[in-house]
Amino acid sequence: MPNEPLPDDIRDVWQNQPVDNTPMPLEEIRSKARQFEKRIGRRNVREYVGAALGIAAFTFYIFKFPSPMIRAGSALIIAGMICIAIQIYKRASPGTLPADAPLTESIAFHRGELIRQRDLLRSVVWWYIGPIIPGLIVFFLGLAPLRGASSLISAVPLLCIFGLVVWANQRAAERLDRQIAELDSLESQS
Amino acid sequence: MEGSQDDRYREAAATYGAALERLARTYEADSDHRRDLLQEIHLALWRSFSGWDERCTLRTWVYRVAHNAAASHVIRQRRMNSHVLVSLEELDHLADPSVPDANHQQTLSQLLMLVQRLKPVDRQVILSYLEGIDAAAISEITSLSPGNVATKIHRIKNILARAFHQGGRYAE
Repeated sequence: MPNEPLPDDIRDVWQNQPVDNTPMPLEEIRSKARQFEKRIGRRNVREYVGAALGIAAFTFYIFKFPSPMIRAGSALIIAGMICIAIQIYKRASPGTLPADAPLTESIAFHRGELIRQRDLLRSVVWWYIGPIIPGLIVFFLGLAPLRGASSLISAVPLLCIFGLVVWANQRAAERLDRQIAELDSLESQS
Repeated sequence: MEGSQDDRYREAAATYGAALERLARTYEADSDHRRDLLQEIHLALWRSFSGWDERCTLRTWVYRVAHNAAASHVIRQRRMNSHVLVSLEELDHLADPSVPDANHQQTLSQLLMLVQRLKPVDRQVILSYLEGIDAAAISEITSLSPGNVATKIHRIKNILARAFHQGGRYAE
């Protein structure tokens, strides 16, 4: 079979395949780097703005309501929100990988990140919902003498939201489990 | 500092630009996604040069950064395993030397299909081999032992010989 390519010719075929090879202008690269940093910055801001708004609202309640129970509940909720913000900072910040790490390390790093995120989602009850529950209980008990049964009824939507948060996070954790299994299957005999 | 970062990037892009484009083809079959991936690789490369301390050769640095960026991109897109990826060893056994066709374009698309089926590290080795990089440098790029790289290259040659010399085909 004289016309069929030999392995050395195959390297030539590979290396001589047509490519655009249009250089990416440096200004475009810098602009994309700035966009990337802004995106990360915006994500971090979003994570903390929610907690800041909650803290502002319950600080307002401390001054608005004379009831010691409501004030104590508000203070506990604020403490819980600070706890959550600290947990987000400690747990949710991604690790970093050296840019020139070998590919095997890079894949192991991504796998580790997926495991970390999955565990974070699975334990959301403890670090995201748990810290504000004591404050909410005290807050609603303080509200009950003022508003009667309606204050307890108003806690129902909140419980539903918590339930939805837990359910959504468990689903997301299951998706990450599947991704981790996919990465495991990529390990090559080496 | 930024000047030397830009200079290093320019040098890397001028020397390895075409190779990076070929690398992107092995990770992304879709042309739009491939364009995005190539941009990500260039961005990762430019960013990486702010921390380059010349502890390895420019070539090793460029290929490591590029493969990492490509793997991250594909993992993020959740398409690393959209079809079953195999190792060189498995591929060696899957070879089906049955359909003789060997014009230039067919050889290229068949070769691309073959590389895209491989697991990431084996893909990195075969791509480096196809780019004409010697075994010692492949060992440096992949961090695999020289013996392991030699075994893999031996397998690659067998697979390529069976697939192309004998007119074989690696169908999906």
